[in-house]
Amino acid sequence: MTEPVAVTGLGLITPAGEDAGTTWDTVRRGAGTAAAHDPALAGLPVDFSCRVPLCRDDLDRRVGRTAWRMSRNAVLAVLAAREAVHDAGLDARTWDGDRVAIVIGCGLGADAVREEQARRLAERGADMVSALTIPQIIPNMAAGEVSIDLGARGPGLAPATACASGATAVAVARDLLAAGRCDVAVAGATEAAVTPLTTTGFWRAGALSRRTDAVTGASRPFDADRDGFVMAEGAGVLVLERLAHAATRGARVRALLVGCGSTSDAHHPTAPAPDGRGAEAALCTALADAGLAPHDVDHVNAHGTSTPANDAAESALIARVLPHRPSVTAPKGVLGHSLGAAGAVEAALTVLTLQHGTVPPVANLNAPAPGFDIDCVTKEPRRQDVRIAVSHSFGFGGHNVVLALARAS
Amino acid sequence: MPDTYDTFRSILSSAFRIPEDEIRPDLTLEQLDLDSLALTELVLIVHERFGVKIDSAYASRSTTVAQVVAHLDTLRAGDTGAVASS
Repeated sequence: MTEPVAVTGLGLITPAGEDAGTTWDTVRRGAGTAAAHDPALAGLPVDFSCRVPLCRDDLDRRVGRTAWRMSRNAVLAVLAAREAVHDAGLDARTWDGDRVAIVIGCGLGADAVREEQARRLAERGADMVSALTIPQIIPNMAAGEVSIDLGARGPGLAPATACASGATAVAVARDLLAAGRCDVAVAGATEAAVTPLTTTGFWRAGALSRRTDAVTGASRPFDADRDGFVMAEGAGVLVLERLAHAATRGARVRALLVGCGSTSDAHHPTAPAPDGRGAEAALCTALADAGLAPHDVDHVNAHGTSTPANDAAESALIARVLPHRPSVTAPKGVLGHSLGAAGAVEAALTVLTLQHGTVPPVANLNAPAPGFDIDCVTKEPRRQDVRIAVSHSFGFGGHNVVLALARAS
Repeated sequence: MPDTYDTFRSILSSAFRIPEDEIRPDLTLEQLDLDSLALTELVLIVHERFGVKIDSAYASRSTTVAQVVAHLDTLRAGDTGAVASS
């Protein structure tokens, strides 16, 4: 069993809103955010997506002068991190930056930059390739820009476990705190990979919804008619501290991170293990880490991508390990799938579920798939006294990460 | 070419988010906070906008805005041995 750590700050920038508050309001209503005819995807078989509702100029203006050198995913990370630090009541101008860790993951990184610069190289030659190419596409640069922006000089890491990256970042940050490597950890993930090549790649892999004629209903986790996920972008950041540190400075504790479980399927590059053994081990490890039993779980934030394979395997896992039918939600129905960022975004939403005692509905879940014996919240938010929640994140490569969170009081 | 300064100032403002009212001819690129990465990017952007390539001697932190503009005017007039436009 590992000592719990406090979640004292949240920052979100998602298709559902430009901060944690607006994102939560939209997710709580179960309002889908997918929009047709994304200009970046024009002419492709799947051309719809979920986008952050701010243009690049607006984003850059918020970041300030340094935005000129940042890729979109770094900009999103910096804004979410600033919000989280502010929300925690911390001040990056006065804190001891040597004791602040930055753990910001991603699934893909700055793919828009990679694709644009590859095109420039092919069409216009080497002289027309930007000097920013490498600084922008390396997957750790969002973490680097956040550390620069916040003056955080402690450990800096950029986990990449595909669609589990955000959850991995939170788990790694917890471990850094537990080991005494830092006093404050700014942890999360970012993704801005709604690009022609990335989208086409997921389409070719059969992972995307093809519901081009009804895009707002395209992401429908656990629904009988689900046919894939919807490309999305965003960033989510949490501020974590040891309980004693949070108490010493009188910080408001939003929730407790009480357990983390990380495993690998060792089965297949993209398909979840059909028996769900890796995901189950992650869930059981997180609960054991927290000193909890399965029946203690009141609520599950499911990975719930809306792909046939994920949702089938995950519903079977929940029904098998948590047969007491805790409530289940899946924010990707509202937000689409922000890939590497999703695990951090959803960890933050799970914190808000614990705080508010409200479970958001799964958007577009009209007819649960036959045989899915789980208690999905549908249509309306559900009031529930949630004391313990788990958040699932699974990624290509067979990565399984489960975070166990507890209400603060 | 009287428009060179305005265009160059516009590039500095849009590409590097420097407020236009903070840009003056007598300021060096260093005083405008352009680092080595920014200078390399500036050469590329100017190449695209003006069709000429700033000589490396001018793409330095100690060069003033006025000096770069004068260099660009010279290049655009075609009376220099500096790198030709693409």
